[in-house]
Amino acid sequence: MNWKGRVGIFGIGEAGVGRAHGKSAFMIQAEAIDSALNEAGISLDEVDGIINPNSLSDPRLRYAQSVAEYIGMSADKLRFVQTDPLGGAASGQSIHHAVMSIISGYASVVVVSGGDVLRSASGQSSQGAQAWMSGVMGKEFENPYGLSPVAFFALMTRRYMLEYGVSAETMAGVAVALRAHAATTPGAHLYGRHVSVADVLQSPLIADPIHRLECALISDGACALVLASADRRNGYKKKPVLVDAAAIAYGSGSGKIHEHMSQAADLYTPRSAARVASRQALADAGISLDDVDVLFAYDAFPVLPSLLVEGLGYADDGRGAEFIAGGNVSLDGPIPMNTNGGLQGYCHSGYNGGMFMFTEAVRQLRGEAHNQVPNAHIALVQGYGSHISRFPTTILRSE
Amino acid sequence: MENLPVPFVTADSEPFWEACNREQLLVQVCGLCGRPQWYPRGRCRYCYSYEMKWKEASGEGNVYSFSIVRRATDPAFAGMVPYVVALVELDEGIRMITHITDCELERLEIGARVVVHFREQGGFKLPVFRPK
Repeated sequence: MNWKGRVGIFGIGEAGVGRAHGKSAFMIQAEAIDSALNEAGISLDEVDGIINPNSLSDPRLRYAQSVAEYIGMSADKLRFVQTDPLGGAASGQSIHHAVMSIISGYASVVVVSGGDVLRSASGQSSQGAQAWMSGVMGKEFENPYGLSPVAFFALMTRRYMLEYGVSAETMAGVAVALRAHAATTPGAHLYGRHVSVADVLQSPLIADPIHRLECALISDGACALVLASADRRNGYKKKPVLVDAAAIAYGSGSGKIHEHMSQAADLYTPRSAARVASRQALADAGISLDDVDVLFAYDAFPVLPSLLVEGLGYADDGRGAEFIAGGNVSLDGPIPMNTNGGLQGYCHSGYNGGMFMFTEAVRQLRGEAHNQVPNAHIALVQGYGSHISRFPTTILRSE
Repeated sequence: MENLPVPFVTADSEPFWEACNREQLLVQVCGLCGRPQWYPRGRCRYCYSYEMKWKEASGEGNVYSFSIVRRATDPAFAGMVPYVVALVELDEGIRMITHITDCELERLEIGARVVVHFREQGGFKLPVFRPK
């Protein structure tokens, strides 16, 4: 697909990151959308598309429409009102859907937003939100066994550690390396909090072998991005960050799409699918991996970014955890990754958690990040979601 | 241990759960291509035939991976922790999410041989496994 440079991100906004201070999920989303539109110099009444990944604490069938209603969007103007409840993959895929709708002419200015209050839980309790998340597992053959999200990743982690001889210290080191970036990012959920490998290993086991400090945070937070045709670059305040490629792979290994863990050929689909999606994306963007200046990879639990960097080609099979824990993704390393601390340290407010990879990528490419990578020109964002089944790769570039 | 979730049964899986109530573990095998399939459904995932046949499984398999859940996400399971959730590969060649019971937690390993038994849960008998 030749989408290179045709659509741009003209504005980003965040609100209530870490803690919403008593505000509702809808309220912080309204604030994030307003700041993204303000940055872009686009009025709400110009927006004809809105995409939202739904909420964990207050799920609604038509969540994007709920947000549009809350903020008073124009019925005459709106064309594309789309809820993408795709778990962690929603962030990448929602961006892809925005690009598709703009390139097809179905919509011209699309807001991708998401927000939740998992930490302060003004909807259900935080525990309720987590229980609901357990409920998104298979209703017949997984839920009755209490396959929690953490247990799900624990199955992957244990097999990975055994097969490749990866130590608990190395897995913990992944969380430490990523959380270090949050410690130096003002506004991050874990800003100023330094974590050591010993801290991680001494934190309680939630689902063996995963410790509490290896789990994605439970945060409040909202974010928004405004996308439009790159041709309109002179009409708006900010120079756009361009979307150069958007590719998806559905990991399975058996050649058949899957939704439940039992249907995947193995538990390493993040590696095999990221390999497929990223190769396509790099080819579409006309670049190689060496051209990527800053990397984002979904990091809900250490095993995920470990497999993703293997699939992307940064590390050999089974060496991804060692690669991340060993300093290669630090700000002065060969490929800085998750420079705001990701889901491990910046913000994980549920379905939109992965969307903060995109707001941070945009900041990096504008040269506005707290943990700025010098001369960052190209970012690769490797998403993950829907029970090791969906892997969107997106390549962003500054002009 | 009340309010534990029960399986959401469909027309595809009714015979499976009826067999579980008789403490029999069934797997489906395609009558056309001969491949086994999990979970129960009306159509072969591989050759697209509608010729799925039920076959009694050996009830034995290997632990493909497992986790000792020490903190329940769903409060319904809070009274059960620590429990072992596992992906078990049956000798018939399919993998299912299940529990490993009656084991020494610290001695369980990937690859361990396990055998099915059935545990009452909300009026159902769930297939679970224990070390052989």
